[in-house]
Amino acid sequence: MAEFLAVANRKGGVGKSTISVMLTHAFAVWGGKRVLLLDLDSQCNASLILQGGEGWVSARKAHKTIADYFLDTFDESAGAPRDYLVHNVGDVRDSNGRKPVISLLPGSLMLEDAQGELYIKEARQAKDPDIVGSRVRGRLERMIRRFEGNYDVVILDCAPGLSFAALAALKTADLVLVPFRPDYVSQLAVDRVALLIEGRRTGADLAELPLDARRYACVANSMRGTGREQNIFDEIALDHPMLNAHLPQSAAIADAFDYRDDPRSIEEKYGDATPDVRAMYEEVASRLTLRLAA
Amino acid sequence: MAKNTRPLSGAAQRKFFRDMLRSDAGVAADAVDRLTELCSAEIASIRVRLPLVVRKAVKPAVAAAIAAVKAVADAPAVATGAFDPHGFSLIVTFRKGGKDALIAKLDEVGEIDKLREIAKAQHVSLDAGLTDRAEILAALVEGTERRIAHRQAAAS
Repeated sequence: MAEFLAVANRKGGVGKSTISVMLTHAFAVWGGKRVLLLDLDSQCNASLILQGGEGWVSARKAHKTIADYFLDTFDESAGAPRDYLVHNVGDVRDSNGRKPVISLLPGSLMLEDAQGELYIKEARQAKDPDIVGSRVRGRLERMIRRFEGNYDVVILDCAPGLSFAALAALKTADLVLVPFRPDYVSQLAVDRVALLIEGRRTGADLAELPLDARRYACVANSMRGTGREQNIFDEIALDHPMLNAHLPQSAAIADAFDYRDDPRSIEEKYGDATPDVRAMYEEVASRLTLRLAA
Repeated sequence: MAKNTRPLSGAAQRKFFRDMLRSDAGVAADAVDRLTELCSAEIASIRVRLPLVVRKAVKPAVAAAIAAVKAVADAPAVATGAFDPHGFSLIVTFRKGGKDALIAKLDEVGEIDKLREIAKAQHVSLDAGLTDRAEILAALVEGTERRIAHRQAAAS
């Protein structure tokens, strides 16, 4: 059965897609796992990084996108989940020179529209907006779970904001990774998404839940090593579980997300940021194992 | 490789540079950030021995960085201005130990100008007209409480 890892934050621009892709590569290459990435963000950045622009367009033409999957199979009567996947994506190879097992359910520019359609469809069955919303989210959860038999790790790259798909992903995930940038508004965003993940209404409610019992962990991204950033990191760590590993602001990381047709090793792809990516992967893998054992 | 050495790169290396520079009282706060950036940009990875010992055989880039650090540390004008306004977090200190702990920590900071530096760096409002040390400490505590309240309100 697959382990579900969501990468989420209501704030945009904190590195959700890039970290999702890093972990996809890491679990597949270093962990030897069969990995599936579900691109739940209509910006489709993870899809573009994993398959390039042409690959993504081909997937759209073949109706292999998350929006197609949700719309076609919402009533659970048609379509097999595997029909919507693209296989052997990514531009890395393993230590034996082979492409690792990485599949993708590509993102769609139409994902928000699709979710609107699903809401209207469900609203024909019930009047109460909360009930309708809850049902839509529940159906999406089940649709996400339909992939669990064929993969070891399913990574859910969530959109910023609170879409039904993002809520379903948060609900499904065994572990939620919350990337943040070390700045003031990111700090506030971490507080908010933590309440959502743990289903708490206030910070005081959340504080009652021990840090080691939380279903999420935060990871600092784009760190430059300034004192101000360290202060913010320490302040967030008072209230939230944090990975010890963090990602530096790095040209190597920025360059790594330029899709190439010629696969290379993961070490070549991430260059001198490889130790940081590896440290993050090892901590996430360890936390995921602990969560599932709990 | 010796057991007491450790390879560092990326964020860990950057943190090491920063901590090393900060540990030297002769390096000014603004020089810490600048030199950390310089070292991080020029040096891909290092292997360190802890506690901090400068190795006999170092790569040219490391040697250049160490020389840059020493040059700054040896400069009298800089040595007198060494102070890191981010050396500790007002909020973390308050949240962990309360008002008394924060006042005690701030009391360790000698000059009023340094207290003002802390306030400015950590975004705590401090009335420019305040000159009494006790009043400044009280204002820093109050400002810290306000920042905590802002964060709590934002998450509500």
